[in-house]
Amino acid sequence: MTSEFILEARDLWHVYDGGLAAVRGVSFGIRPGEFVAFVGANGSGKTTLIKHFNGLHKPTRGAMLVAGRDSRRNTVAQLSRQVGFVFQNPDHQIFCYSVWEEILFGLKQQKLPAALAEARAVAALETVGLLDRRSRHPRELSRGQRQRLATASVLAMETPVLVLDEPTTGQDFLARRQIMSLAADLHRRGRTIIMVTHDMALVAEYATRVIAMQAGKVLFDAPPREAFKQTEHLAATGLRLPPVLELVAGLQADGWPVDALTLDELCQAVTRVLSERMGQPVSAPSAGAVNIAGSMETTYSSPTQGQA
Amino acid sequence: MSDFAIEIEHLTFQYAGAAAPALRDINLTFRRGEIALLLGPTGAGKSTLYLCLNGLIPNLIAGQMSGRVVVAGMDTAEHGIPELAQKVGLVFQDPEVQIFSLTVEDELAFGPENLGLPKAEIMRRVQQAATAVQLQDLLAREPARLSGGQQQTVAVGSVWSMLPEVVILDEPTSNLDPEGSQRVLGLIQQLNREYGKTILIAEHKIDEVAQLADHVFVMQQGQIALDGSPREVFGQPDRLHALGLVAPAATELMFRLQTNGWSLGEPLPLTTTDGLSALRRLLASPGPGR
Repeated sequence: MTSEFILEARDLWHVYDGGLAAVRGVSFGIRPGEFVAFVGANGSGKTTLIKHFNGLHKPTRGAMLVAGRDSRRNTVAQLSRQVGFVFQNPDHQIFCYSVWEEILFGLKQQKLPAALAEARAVAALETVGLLDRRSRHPRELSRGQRQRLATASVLAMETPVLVLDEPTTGQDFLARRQIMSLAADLHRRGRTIIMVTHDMALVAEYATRVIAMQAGKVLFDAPPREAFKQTEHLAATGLRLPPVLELVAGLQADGWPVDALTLDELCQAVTRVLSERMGQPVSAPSAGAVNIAGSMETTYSSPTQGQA
Repeated sequence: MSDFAIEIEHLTFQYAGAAAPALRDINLTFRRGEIALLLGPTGAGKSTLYLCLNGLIPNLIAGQMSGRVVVAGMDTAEHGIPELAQKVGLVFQDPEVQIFSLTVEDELAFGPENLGLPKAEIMRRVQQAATAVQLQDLLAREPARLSGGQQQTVAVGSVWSMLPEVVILDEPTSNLDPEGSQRVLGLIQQLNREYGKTILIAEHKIDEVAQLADHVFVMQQGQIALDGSPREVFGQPDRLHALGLVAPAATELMFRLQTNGWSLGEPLPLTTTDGLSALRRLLASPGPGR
C-alpha cells in the first residue's frame, strides 16, 4: 500500500478484552512534517489510539498504516524504526545503570555499527544537554533530566515520527520550555511530531493541527486557530481555552481587531491597537515582547534557545 | 490553641550522605484555615519540606535536622508518624507511589480505619468521599488498573475520607484534563471553606491556582525566596522570572504592556477575568497611557 501519509487511520476501532470500545471508528491522515496535538478528556481514547502508531496496540477493526505499512503485518520493532515514543513517566522507560548505557540500548537493538551508534548517542545527549552526565546513574538525575534522557533515547533512534505523551506533565516552567523548544526544533528540521496533552497553551503555541477526541471518536480536526473558535466543541470535550485565547475572545467580542495564539502575539496585537488609537507609530514587533527565556538561566543550549 | 496550623523555625535538613543541605534555615508560618500555594522549580526542596511536615523527617528518613517544626500543635520531633498522620494528609504527585489497596473502596477506607473510627462512620466517610470526588462507580475497581487521572482522583479522595487538619497536595491535578483539574481544585476549596482545613498546595498550573491562594511561598535552592499575598508575589513577574517561574498569563500580559509604557497605574490583574477588564479599560482610555 502506498500513501502520502506517514500515519493513517482508516475507520480504526479498538475494543479491549473486557469489551470496552476505547476507539470507535477513527479516520485521519497525518503528512510528514506536521505537528499534531491530540486532545480530549481523560478516558476519551487518546492514549489507546496513539499506541497504534508503533504497533503497541493493533486495530480490532479497520486499519492503521505507518509509512504505508499495515500495522498488523509488522512488529513493534519494525514500526519503531518509523515512530519513536516518549512516554509520560520517564521512569517507565529508563532501566539501565548509566545514562550512556540507557542511550545506547535502543541503538544496539537496531544492530548499528558501534561507531555509528556512539556518534548518534553523543549527538542525542548533546541535544538534550546531558552529555556531561553520561556516566551518571539515571537515578541521580532530576525528574526533568530523566524526562530529557528518555527523550534523547528516542531521538537517537532518528525516527521520522516522534510521539510525546503528555511531555510537560509535572514539569516546571523551565523544563517545560526546554522540552517544547526541543520538539519545535525537531519539527523545524522536518520530523513529524505527535503530542498528547491537556495543556491548551502548548497546543496554541506549537501545534499545526489539533485532533480532538471524545468518547473514542474524532470530534474535530483543525488548525489551532480554527479549533479554538469551536468553543462549544471544546467545552463538550472538557477542554477550555488557554488564558491567552480567553483574553483574545473577550477583546474580539468587543470588536477590537486582535488575533493571537500566544502571549507574545497578544502583547504585540494590543500594542499595535494602542499605538494606532493614541496616534503613535506602530512599535517594532520586538518591542512587544519581553524575552522571558532569555532572562533566565537555562541549563542546556539548543539552536532554539532564546526564542520566546 | 495557636493561630497557626504549621510553624517552622530555622529548619535545616541534610540527607544522610548528601553534600549540602536540602533545606536551609526555613522560617514559615501557615495560619489555620488558609490555602497556601508553594511554588518553586524542580529540586527547590518542596518534597523535602512535605516530608518534614508529615514527620517522615526526622522520624524515618536518615539525615541531620535542626530547627523546629510544629504541625497542628505537635512538634514533629516529639510525635510519631502514626499520630502525625491523623493530622496531616499528603497527596503525592505520582499517585502510583501512594495507592496500594486492592479496591478503590479499601483505599478510601484505609485512613478512617486507621483513625479507629466505628464501622458505620468509616462507611459514611467512604461514601461521602466517593460522592465528592465522583468515584461512586469505581469503588469496586482495582486502583492499579485505573487511568492516571482516575488514580489521582482516588488519591485526593483518600484525603477527603480522612479529613485531616492539614492537607498537603503535591501537584494534585498534573494528570487531569482541564475539567478534572477544575473539579479537584473546587474540592480543595471546599475542604478549606466548609471544613476549615488548612491547605498547602504545590502546582505548576499557575493560572488556575493563583486566585485560590491566600498566601504564596516561593522556594529556591532549599530556601524561601519570596513569601507574600498572591498580589505581592505575582505582582512582580520579573522576580518570578529570575527564579525560573512565571505569573498568570493575564498578569504577564499587563506587566509586558506596562514595561512598554502602557500602564493603568493600578495593581496587575491575577485572573483572566480581571485581566480582560483591565485590557478593556486600557484600550478604552481616552489619552496616551505613557
